[in-house]
Parts: sequence; structure tokens; C-alpha cells
Amino acid sequence: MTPTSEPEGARAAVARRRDARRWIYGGLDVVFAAVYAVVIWKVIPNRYPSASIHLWTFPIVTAVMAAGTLLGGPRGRRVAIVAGSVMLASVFVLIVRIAVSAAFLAGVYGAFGQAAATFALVMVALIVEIVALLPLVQVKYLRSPAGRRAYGVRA
Amino acid sequence: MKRGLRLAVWIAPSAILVVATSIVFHAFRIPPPARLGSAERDQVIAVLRRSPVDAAPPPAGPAPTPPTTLVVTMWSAGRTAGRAEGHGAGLTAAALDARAALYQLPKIAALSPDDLRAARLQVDVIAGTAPLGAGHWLFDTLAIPGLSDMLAINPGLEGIGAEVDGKHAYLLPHELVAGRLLTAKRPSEALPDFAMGVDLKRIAQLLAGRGSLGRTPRPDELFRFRTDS
Repeated sequence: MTPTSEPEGARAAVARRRDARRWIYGGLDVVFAAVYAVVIWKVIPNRYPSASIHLWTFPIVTAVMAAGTLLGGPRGRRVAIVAGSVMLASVFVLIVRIAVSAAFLAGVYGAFGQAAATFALVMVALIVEIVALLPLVQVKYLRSPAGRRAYGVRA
Repeated sequence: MKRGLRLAVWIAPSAILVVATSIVFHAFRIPPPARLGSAERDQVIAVLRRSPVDAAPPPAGPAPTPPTTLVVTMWSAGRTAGRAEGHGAGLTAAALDARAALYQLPKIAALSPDDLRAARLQVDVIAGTAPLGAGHWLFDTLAIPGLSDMLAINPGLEGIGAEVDGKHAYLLPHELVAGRLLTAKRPSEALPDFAMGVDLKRIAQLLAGRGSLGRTPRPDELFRFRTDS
């Protein structure tokens, strides 16, 4: 080992120890996955297979994101990024579904349907805040230089 | 390359949303019908009121229009005495066709001349059609499941029709309401009084019973329509 690599290795180790974001994000993922699962199971159970499958992607993918984030290392980082991207894609599909349904209501019901469509926009805003925000900032962190350092990936 | 990708990431989601909503909106929208003028309405009623045995040629009507379908319902003593559909190139031709079918109905043929004069005629001109819920590929693929069952049509304004092998049958808006076909489902077990949703199975059976179709229409053979009453 050359003398110049020792301080770099030590600095990297210190950086990994100081960056608490990995544990914060991991903890949030666990909590959110549990909340999503309970809400889908108890509050908004759905008898339609396609809707049910789509909704269950949220807790499952969030749990995978949690596992990748907490396990650490380059592989864990990769798993978390892929899971976060899948989560964002699923949220986008949900937003498209809501928008298409709102367009149907606006087309069939005229002015009343347009009011329902406006409410659908409110729902989309809530979904972005409640479901999309966490994977969005987490993936951004994982891809940042600090995130790479925290997972032992060369920046 | 990177700039192009960034542009695509920012623009593509909005573009997809705009295109998808535009397609679905225009597929399901039936524009409000252009209301008939008083002269046209008087002409149609005059044709329908003419005695069925009157062989004189019908009075000249407005210039022919694209194929027209209308449904005539005769009300006598507060009840439906009979209904008939008429098809033709223009309002007058359609009214003549409906008149010929209407006065052949046994219940109407049995009415006295006084009852016929006192009877009220309701004329619904079919104006615009659109798919009924599950009938458009984009909506079937992407919409929230169950929406088309619960909120299939605009009650009181739209009726449901069927097209089977080129033959048509219609259930008018007031017939759907009177038959309690628009609040047939209970979407929530916790709220048994909350009823919402169209009974498509029963509607298909009623349309088959109109006599002209020959069989019960499939769900994809049903459509929504608006009327100018």
C-alpha cells in the first residue's frame, strides 16, 4: 500500500461513517413501505386485479429500495437506484391513469366532469407529495458524489 | 445527445399526459346537439299527427339532411301507449317512417280518435354517439378499473343503444331512469343505501327485446347517444 492511498482510504471511511443519510433514507423507506402496505390492505382494498397489482408495487418496491439502501455497498446502491426508478415509473403510470379517468369524466359529464377532473389534479399533486417525493430525492442522493462515497463507489 | 435526453425527460411526461387525455376526452365526448328550430319541430309533429289513413302526400319539409334517426313515444292518460323508431334521410323521412311503425302498434291502433288527439307525442332525435365505457383501447388499458361501470353515462341526458349486424336499438334517457337501470350496483358493502352503476346486462336484454336485433348485444356492441327532445 503506498503512503498516499492510506489518507484517501481513511477519508473515504470517515465519509461513509459521517453520512447519516443512508440510514435516514433507509428508515424512511421501511416506514413508508409499511404504511403503504397497511393502507392498501385495510383502507383502499381493490377487487380489480390490474389495480391491485399496480397498487402493491408501491410497498414492495419501497421495501426493495429500503433493503438496497440499508445493505450498503455498490450492489446495494444499484438495487436502491433501480427500485427507486421503478417506483417513479409506477407513480407516473398512476398519474397517467388518473389523468385518463379525469378526461373520461370531463368528456362524458361536461361541466360537472370538468370539476371532477380538477379534483383529480389535486389527487395527482397529493400523490407526487406522498409517494413520489421520497424516491425522487433518494435516487438523487444515491447518484450524487456524496452518495457514491457513502456506498464505496468511486465518484 | 445528453441535452436531447434532458429535453426528453422534461417534455415527454407532459406530452404523454396531454396526448392521452386529449384522445380519451374527444373519444367519449358527445357535443351538445344543435337544437331544432321551431319550424322543424312543428313540421315533425305535423307529420306524426297526420291520420294514418290519410293518403295525401306529406307537406314539404326542410331540405334533406344526413341520415336521421328519431324515436317517437306516445303518451296517453299518463302512460306510454307505444313507441316507434324512424330512420330516413332527413327529419321528414324519419318522421314518416316512425309514423308508419307507430300506428301499427296494437295498443295505439285500439285508441279512439279522441284519445289519439289528446295523446302527447314525445320525439327524441338521436344526435351524436360515443363509446360506452369499455369500448376504447386507451381507456380500457389505462383508466382506473371500475370507472366505466360506475359512471358510464350522463343520466337523464344520454341513452344507451346497440348495433348488431347493422341493426340498431335504443333505450332513451327517460327509459333508463324510469327502469332504474342507472343505480343498480352497490359499490360499498359498508353503505348499502349507496347505489351507483349501470346494469349493462339488463340493458342488453332490454335492447334485444326491442325485436330488431335478433340477439342480445355484447358489451362492445353498446354505445351512448344524446338526444334532442
